Amino acid sequence: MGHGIRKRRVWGAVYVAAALVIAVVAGACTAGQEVDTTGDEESRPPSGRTEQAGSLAWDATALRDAAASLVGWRTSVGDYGSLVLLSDSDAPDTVWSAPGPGYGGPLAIDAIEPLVVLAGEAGTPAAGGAAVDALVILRPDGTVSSHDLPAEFGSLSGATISQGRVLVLAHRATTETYDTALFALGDDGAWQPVRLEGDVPAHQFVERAVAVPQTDSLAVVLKTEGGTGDRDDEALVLARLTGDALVVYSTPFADDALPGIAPLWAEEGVVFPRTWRVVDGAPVLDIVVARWDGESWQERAVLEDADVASGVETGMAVTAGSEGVLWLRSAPSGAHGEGAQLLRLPEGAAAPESTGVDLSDVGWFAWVDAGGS
Amino acid sequence: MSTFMRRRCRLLGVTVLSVAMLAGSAGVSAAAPAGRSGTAGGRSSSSAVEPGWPESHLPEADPRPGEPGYLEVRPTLTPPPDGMTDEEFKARDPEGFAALLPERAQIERRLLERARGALAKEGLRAADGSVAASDIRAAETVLAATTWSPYGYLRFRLVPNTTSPYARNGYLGTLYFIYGIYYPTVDAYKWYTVSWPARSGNNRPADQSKVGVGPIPAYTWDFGFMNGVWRGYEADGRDAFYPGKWRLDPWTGGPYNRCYLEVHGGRYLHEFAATSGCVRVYPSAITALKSYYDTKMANKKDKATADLRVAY
Repeated sequence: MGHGIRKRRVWGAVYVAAALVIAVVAGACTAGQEVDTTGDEESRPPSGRTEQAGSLAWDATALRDAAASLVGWRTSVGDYGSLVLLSDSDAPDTVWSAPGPGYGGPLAIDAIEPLVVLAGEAGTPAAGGAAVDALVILRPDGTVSSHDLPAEFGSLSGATISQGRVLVLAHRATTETYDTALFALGDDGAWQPVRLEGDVPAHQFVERAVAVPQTDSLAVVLKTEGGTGDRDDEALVLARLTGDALVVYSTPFADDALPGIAPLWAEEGVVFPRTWRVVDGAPVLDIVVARWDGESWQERAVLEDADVASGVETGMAVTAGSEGVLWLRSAPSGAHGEGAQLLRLPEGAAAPESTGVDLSDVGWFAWVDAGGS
Repeated sequence: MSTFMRRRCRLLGVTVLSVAMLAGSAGVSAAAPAGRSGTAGGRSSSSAVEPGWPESHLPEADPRPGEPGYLEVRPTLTPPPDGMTDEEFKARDPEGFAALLPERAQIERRLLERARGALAKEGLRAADGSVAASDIRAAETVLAATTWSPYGYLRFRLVPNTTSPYARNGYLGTLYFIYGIYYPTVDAYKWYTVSWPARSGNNRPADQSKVGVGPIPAYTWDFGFMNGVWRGYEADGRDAFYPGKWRLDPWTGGPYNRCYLEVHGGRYLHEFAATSGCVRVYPSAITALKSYYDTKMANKKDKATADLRVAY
């Protein structure tokens, strides 16, 4: 399978590159939204991304036409990263390839619409690396736009898509302080502050916010003033986005491993690798599902002492698909995650089954279901 | 050879090397490594480790040019701002200042002896310790050839704390870079300190003996060395390390059989996330630390003094 995928990826990249050249020369591509210029572009280091995003297009139909699928972000030798279909070997596997440097991989993908949020990177020569300073959005109409982060919160913690709206979690930090803020991207390209309201537990900052697919809920992880216990540093609540407020409607669920959550599919809840359990001095890994039943949290370890990746030293470890299926990363045996396989855990199954899909060089994956065939 | 085959060969090599190094480390550990600072020893409570570790930390796994995650090491072009003076350090972090001062005083006594000796040997220091104004430039030239000024070292602490946003598991981790500059005109060092929030393993000092779980053990580690050889700062664009790292010696056979430990960054899901024992800081802290490491640590290649001191 690996050779076939690689050949298709090469041709996919060639196709995308050729399409871009033709589009630019002909001036026929849709321009997309203007790159946000609130920052001082001249003083910014060149990233490649800023110049390209405004003139890019992408083929949104590749995602729209896909059947229920797992998509991933694959970064292979000689390319800048590609959005690929992982679970359907018969379909063309490359959805979109980054045309150059400046794209840091997906942060969120809409479960239904072909809408993808990627991290935008600016090169910082002194560091020998890059800083995430913007979002790049692949839109359902085939346009690509770039949006600088709000000036006062210039560092990105994450992004999600709730009911078609793009939300970002940004932060600012000093040696002693760490503040986060949520913003929604308006139709005019401006950032709208989003407040956290309702019965919000005492917390220090918002650690993560992820939309639950096919619901109006968001799972929000809050960093709390914790202690030495295993379930006192983080709290999970569910919330709904109403106007410019994220209104909490669940009680909190506590677990120190909550930063590793992925939302369940069409269910109010999350799945996460619990990384803190130790048996006889040895760390063991459990895959835990926490569901909100309308009144309280119901917690269940769907795999105990599992031989799967936890995400501590690897890429993303688990995501949820439709029909209660969980998709997991096997414990890799290679330095770059070579040997890591995509595992499938049907609802109620005692152990995951191998899919044969190679997760080498795939750091992020998510389930989409556009209703295609 | 195709890229695919090259990577498979490297994977095989890494696997073989991993097994060999783990076996080697167990053998070294059996000989009860003595901590340079006196707290090492003991044996591993478990051989279980986090999936993916330690292979991803081995140098054979480092991304190479053209591979995803490869980053070039770039020189520091702009000197960093001065760190906190003692007065500023004491005002901002009185407990940290008090904890670090005694060991720094010991280091300073040793450094002063060496600096004074070097100047006296060149006839630049009078019996009363003074350096003539006309000899200042020559004194600076002599000192520039030594590793004693600017002299830098690092310190990692975990202290009970539940209120800081950077505290995890009831402990606040801090990575300090301390450097001193000798001024021959006053025959004294002036010290500066820079610090960043940091974390290591599960952040609980009591678990330092638990391989793959607890924080880096209390010990004096050689910063930027591996198996006795200086490697310095190593850029690494992989998300779990981004934007780079310094390896720590003993690379294998450390206290409690802990091995393959580093100071590194991490971004996206790995930003300030838990580790298998490595010290993790924010990417911006790696960038800042590199600038001080490049410009304020003349002793960086001196294995005997390029220390990361860990004490709980």
